Amino acid sequence: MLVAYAARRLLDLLPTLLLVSFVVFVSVRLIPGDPVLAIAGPEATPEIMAEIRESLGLNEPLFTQYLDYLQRIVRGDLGTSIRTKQPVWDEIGRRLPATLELAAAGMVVSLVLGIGLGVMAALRPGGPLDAFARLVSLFGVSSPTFWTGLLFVLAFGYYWRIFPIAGRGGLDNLVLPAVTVALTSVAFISRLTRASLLEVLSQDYVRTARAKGAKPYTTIVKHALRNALMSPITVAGLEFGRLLSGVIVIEIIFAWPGTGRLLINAIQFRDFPIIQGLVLTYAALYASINVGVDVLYAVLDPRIVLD
Amino acid sequence: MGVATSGVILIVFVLSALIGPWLPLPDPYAQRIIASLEGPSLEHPLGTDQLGRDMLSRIVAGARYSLVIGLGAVGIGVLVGVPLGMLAGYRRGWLDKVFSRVIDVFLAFPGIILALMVVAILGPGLNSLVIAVGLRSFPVFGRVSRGETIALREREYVQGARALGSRGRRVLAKHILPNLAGPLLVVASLQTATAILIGATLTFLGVGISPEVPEWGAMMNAARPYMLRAPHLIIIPGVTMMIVMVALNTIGDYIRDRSDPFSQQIRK
Repeated sequence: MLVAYAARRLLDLLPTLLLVSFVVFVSVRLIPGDPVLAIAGPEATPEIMAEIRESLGLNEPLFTQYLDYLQRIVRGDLGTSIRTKQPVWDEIGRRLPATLELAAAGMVVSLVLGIGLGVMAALRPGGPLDAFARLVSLFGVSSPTFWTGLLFVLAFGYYWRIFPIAGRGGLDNLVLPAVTVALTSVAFISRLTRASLLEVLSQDYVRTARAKGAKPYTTIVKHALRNALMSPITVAGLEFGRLLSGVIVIEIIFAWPGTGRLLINAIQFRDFPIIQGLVLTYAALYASINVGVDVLYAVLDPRIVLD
Repeated sequence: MGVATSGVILIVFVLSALIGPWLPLPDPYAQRIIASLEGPSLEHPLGTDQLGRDMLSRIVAGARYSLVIGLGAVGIGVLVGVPLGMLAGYRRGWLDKVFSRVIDVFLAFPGIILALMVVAILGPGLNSLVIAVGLRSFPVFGRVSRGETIALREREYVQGARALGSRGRRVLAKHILPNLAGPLLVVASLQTATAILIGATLTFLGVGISPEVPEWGAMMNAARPYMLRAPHLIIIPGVTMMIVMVALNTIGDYIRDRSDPFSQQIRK
């Protein structure tokens, strides 16, 4: 049942991904500048240019080109980078693990900190911890991610020298970028956890648990939290999109060897096969994470009907 | 931060954007290399940057860019998103299905990536920056107006107007649009904040605006190599942005609480 549900949700992704790939395919062709000129170089003769144009299939109608492109994607061929002449998939594949590592670490940090802060805040609304949680989320929502990153570099990398501020390696390399990237999501998740826990805590079954003498800890962890966690987990999937955006920016600040720098360079050099490949990769990642969240949701809440 | 304080901050922000060039401040482009990277002084209340330019003038000049990006992007979002959303919500059927799918696709692109792609296609410049950020906000406006329209079209007074023979366009303009104003105002104030944030992120990445322009994100990008010797070059534009963000968010929450009694109940 669950497997069938997961498979069906994955199938639902296909039209969306097709649409994304079509939009990207068309829009990338709107980029001014002739890709043939970029490949051939300035001293190419018109004959060479025509040859390259023919070999890239650029003389075919747009829709034929798109179908051709789709076929190659299915075969795992995303084309060749104009700048480095390397296969696009090699360029992306080499850097993707670093990006995924940072995004996953960011997700873990935002769930742990977000839910933790939210629960703390809900235990005593109006108390000092609640005020602290409110302050953290205010900062998270209103400060640009790149700026928080720069502040962290200044504070922890130069003044206190606690964490390394550049490159990828051990866990200590991961701390600053992961926390930076998570901060905006921490803000949303903690507010949401607080609101939803407060609501659950006011329900009859929690009052019953309290009345029969359950300790506050038991009431919250065993009775309330499971229900209260539904909404933060739903947004966690959506938050992943925000995290990916953040990761691209943060990679540049912390010299993280992921796909962010690749994307920025590709945009500056108009390396459209790379842009195309990266956008498709990000969209596929984001969409499949959301399917995963839906499935997890169904596991957590048995009331959800799987159809 | 209180609503009154936020209001004052927004007024100062908008005024700086409007009358900035006529204020008695040094030219934000005037370089004096001898006086570079100075801390705050009487002559330069916020210090000077890596080229000796007055930071206060540049912050004030930056307000204009942020306001243009924020309002321009929200304007595009409203003009594109609201009519489409209302139409989809009112007509339903295949139109609504297509619209919802397109919105899903737009929201499936992580924000920065979509905006980066648009700037890559349109080329650098303030206009393409505004369009890029605006394309990011139109699905949000579209979704809100679609949802509200679906709820509103079943109300008795709308049904009444239709029974009396009002055509779709008249119903949408006279009976549904006025009731959308409240929710849209809330979304608009929050989206202005988001738009300013995304705009500054793009310019910080060196996309869209050339580095000598006194735009907050571009300023921080240009100052990065001097960050250690002169942290104020990073801290001042960031704090300024943050204050504007908090003010916009506070006002947005305030309007929501005033216009939607249900959300007030939840807050207690």
